[in-house]
Amino acid sequence: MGPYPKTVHLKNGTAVILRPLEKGDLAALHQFYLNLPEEDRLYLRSDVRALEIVKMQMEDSDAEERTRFVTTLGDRIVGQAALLRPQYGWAQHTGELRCVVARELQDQGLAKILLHELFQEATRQGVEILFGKVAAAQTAAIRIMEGLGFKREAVRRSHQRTLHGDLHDVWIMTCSISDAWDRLEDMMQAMDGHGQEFYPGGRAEG
Amino acid sequence: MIRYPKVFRANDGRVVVVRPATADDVNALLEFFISLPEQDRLHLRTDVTQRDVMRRRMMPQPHWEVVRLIGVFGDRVIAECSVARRTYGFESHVAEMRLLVAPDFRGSGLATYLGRQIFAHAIMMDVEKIEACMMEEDRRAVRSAERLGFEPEGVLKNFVKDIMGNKHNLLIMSLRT
Repeated sequence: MGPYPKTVHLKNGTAVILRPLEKGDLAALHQFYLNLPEEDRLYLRSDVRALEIVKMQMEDSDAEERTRFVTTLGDRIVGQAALLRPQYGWAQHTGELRCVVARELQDQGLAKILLHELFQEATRQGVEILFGKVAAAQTAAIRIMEGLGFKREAVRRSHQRTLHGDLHDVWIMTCSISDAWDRLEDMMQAMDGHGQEFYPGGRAEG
Repeated sequence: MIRYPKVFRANDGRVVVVRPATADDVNALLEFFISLPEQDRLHLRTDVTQRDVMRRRMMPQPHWEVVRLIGVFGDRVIAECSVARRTYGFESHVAEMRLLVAPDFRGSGLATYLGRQIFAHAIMMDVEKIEACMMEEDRRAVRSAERLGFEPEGVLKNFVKDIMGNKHNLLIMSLRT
């Protein structure tokens, strides 16, 4: 991984710090989730209002290599992104992306900055295919992913509950890393664009 | 509560004992997995030929509910079938099933028998949906899953890389309990 922490600038000039997630971030990460509006938490993979759940997500796993980045503004976490890659088996060339950013920074290019970091890491780890999981109702996330070249490839029926307990379908959107790179580079150069960020939610991990 | 051990009689008359795997089975399971063609092991989540990994796998997993049945022929483990569900999160109604049978017991009816046994456990675990993943072109696995009632749910192109580095499509099949 590159040298961290890094200072990165958002579209409005705000400087945020980008670095890997650390064990000591538990309380700040939990607070970040608590600060999300409910509609942004609705399709996350678990109830991150519970500290214990956030702690579980931060644990290591025999099955997955988990690379996580956060961005901080002052002492607050304002963005979180992860690359999950199997450590063994036939899908080691695939990596799942997750990204959640604070509502007030959702038009500032923060998700793209986090994704850029994940793409670099994915390339380093030999990932060839990237995927993300979204609910059909997550139109903003879907737009961002489509902008990066992701396409809906499979629909897992009644696969996840929302925060309210209703079952919904989960889309698996995939893209080759080379295509996603090209699109992201273009987007970052034209960082004057607008639109919403990519926040497909965090799968319960294990 | 399902009582074990159970006896399965293969269609060629061989008798297989089916029971839950325990920590005492680590060595026999290692031998089983090492004896399998490498490609067959690749749909597992961890490297089951490593003793440490296997030992951890046989211990209770935090945040997972797992039932693991094995088929034993003489003193050999010749099959493993598992169902695993996360105990937290919004996907905890979904479980994944995995099944591996030694080549000399394929076609014996054991896979179907183990699959049905594991379904009973999945229902007791309050699982609403069971998934199984396989290579789309693995006709034997697909037929075996269809016999158990699984239906195709989606295909992910090139999600499987075999030991030669060739890519294959991953078929996700599912079943409602």
